[in-house]
Order: sequence, then C-alpha cells, then structure tokens
Amino acid sequence: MKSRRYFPGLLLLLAGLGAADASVPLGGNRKGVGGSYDMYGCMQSNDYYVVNFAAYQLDSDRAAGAGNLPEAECVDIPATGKTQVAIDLLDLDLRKKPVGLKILREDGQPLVELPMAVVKQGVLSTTVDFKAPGNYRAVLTVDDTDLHTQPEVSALHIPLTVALASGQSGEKNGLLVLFVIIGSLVAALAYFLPRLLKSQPLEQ
Amino acid sequence: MKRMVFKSLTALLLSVLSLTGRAEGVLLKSDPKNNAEVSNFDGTVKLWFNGNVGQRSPSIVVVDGKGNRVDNGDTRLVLGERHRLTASTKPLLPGPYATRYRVITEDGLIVSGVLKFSIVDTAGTAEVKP
Repeated sequence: MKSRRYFPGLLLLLAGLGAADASVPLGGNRKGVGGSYDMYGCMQSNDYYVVNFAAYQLDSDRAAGAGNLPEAECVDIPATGKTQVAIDLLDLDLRKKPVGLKILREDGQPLVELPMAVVKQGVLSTTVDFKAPGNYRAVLTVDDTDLHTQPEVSALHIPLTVALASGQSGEKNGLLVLFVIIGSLVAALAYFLPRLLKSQPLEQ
Repeated sequence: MKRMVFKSLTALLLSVLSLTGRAEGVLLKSDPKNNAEVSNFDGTVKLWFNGNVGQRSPSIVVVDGKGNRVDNGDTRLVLGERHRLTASTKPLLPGPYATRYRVITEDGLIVSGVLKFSIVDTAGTAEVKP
C-alpha cells in the first residue's frame, strides 16, 4: 500500500528528470551581445563548442543579498572591479571531458587560469579582478578525448570589453535624445496651439 | 482512492509530455553511420534531424585520427520536413575519423554530439593479406 502512495511522486520525479535532460541556455535576465535581451542569453560558439557566458558584478555601494542579485552581463562588462565569470557548457559531452579556462589581458597576460578538470555540473566559474578598462579575452580549452584535437586549436575564444563605451550606450543615448525631442515638440504644441487658435479673429 | 488515481494520471500525463518534449531536435540518422566502416565514402557528411531546428550556429567538424581537421568548413543546414546538415571533406585516406555536429532548436535546445566512422580500403586490405 505504501508503494502505491509513492507511485505518483515517483512518476512526477521521472517527469522532472526527463524535462531536465536537455541542454538549454538560460535566458531570463541574461543580456545578449550588444546589451539586448534574448532567449539565448549570451551564447558564444566556435565550430567545435557552444557555451553561455555570464559575468556578475556587484555594485560596491550595494550589499549582497537575496533581493540584490546582480544582473548577468554579457561580453560587454560595464565596470572594472571584481567580477564573477560563469561559463555554462551547453554541449553535454563536455561535462565528461577535462576543460580549462583562462582570462587574458589584451597583451596575452593571464589574469586567471583554471586548470583542466572535468566539470560534471557543466558550469565553470571564477572570480576576476578587472583593474583597468580595456579589452580582455576568455579562452575555454577542451581535452576532447573523442576528437584528439589539440586544445589550443579547438579553443573557444570569447572577446570581452570592460568599462568601455559600447554601442549599446550610444543606442540608449540616441533613443533618449529622440524621446526628449518628441516630448519637447508635444509640449510646445500643447502650449502654443490653443493660444494660436484663440488669437485668430472670428470671421462673421 | 479517487484522489490517488487522479494524481497518478496527472503524473503519467506529465511524464508522457516531458518525453514527447524531448523529441524536439533529435538526430534521426547520419551518413556515414556511427561506428560504420565505409569503403565508398562520397566526400560529404550528412545528418538528418527532426524538430524545430533553427538556423543559429549549425556546425560540423570532421577530424582524422590525429585530430586534424579534414572538413572544408562549408557546413550547410537545409530546413525541411527532415532538416539536413551537411559538410564536405577533403579526400579521406583509410583510417578513423570523428564528426562533431551541432544544431540549435528555436527553443534554444542544443543538439550536439560526436559520431565516429572509419574509411577502409578494401582493395588495399586484400593486397596486404598473404
């Protein structure tokens, strides 16, 4: 009788496991390239591998807490400082193969280097302190035991910018200017149009 | 009792739905087949998928036994009733090869994996035999 009671729960668990057995990039609040939001989040790929990239920065004047979770940024990281970088391995077979991660400065000097290791959970995560604005690079290397390709050859290079003025802020500024102009025109019309109509003499 | 039957049916329905959901973006077949020994390779790797496969980042990489890339980097995805992903290769010598493939569905599901095949030289093998 007890086993009968557990049967629906077991089936629900199986249903959940079935739904979880898929490699879907997390969307939600993740920004895509250029600052726009899309369902793919910040998907980065080369011919060999595909990952989802996310960078989390906590404002220094904002305390960490459940209600203060930082927004996931894509490859245009808005500010310097300590940044949590997370890479979701979307190719399921990569979760059984050794992977390594380097964050490099523009001149190739490594800021962070995670040694090759199997990441069963599928998420590589590290903290980087970006001290200066500029161009950086995240490099994911895979010891692909199926392909036997040199890790440097199949490496996925993700270009990053830190605290650099990007197109996205330009677009935002452009939109803001447009809204200000339209708003001013509407306000001007609302002010002057009734007065203009009032001042016209009535023809009898 | 009625409540338990209702719960069981709901759970069963969810299980079936989750299983049918997984049918989106599935590799149906490949040419060459996985682990096949091929003597008359036509120079093109072909894979067929079902489901709502999208045009975003499809890829095929073919490498030889030493990991050197032997495809021509001309991956092509033709969407249809059965979506076809193809890539041509350089002339292949006898030996083992591996194909890494990837398509992405409209829902953002990554369908990727590795298939292996070998090119065999039947004439050559016959010559080697005493």
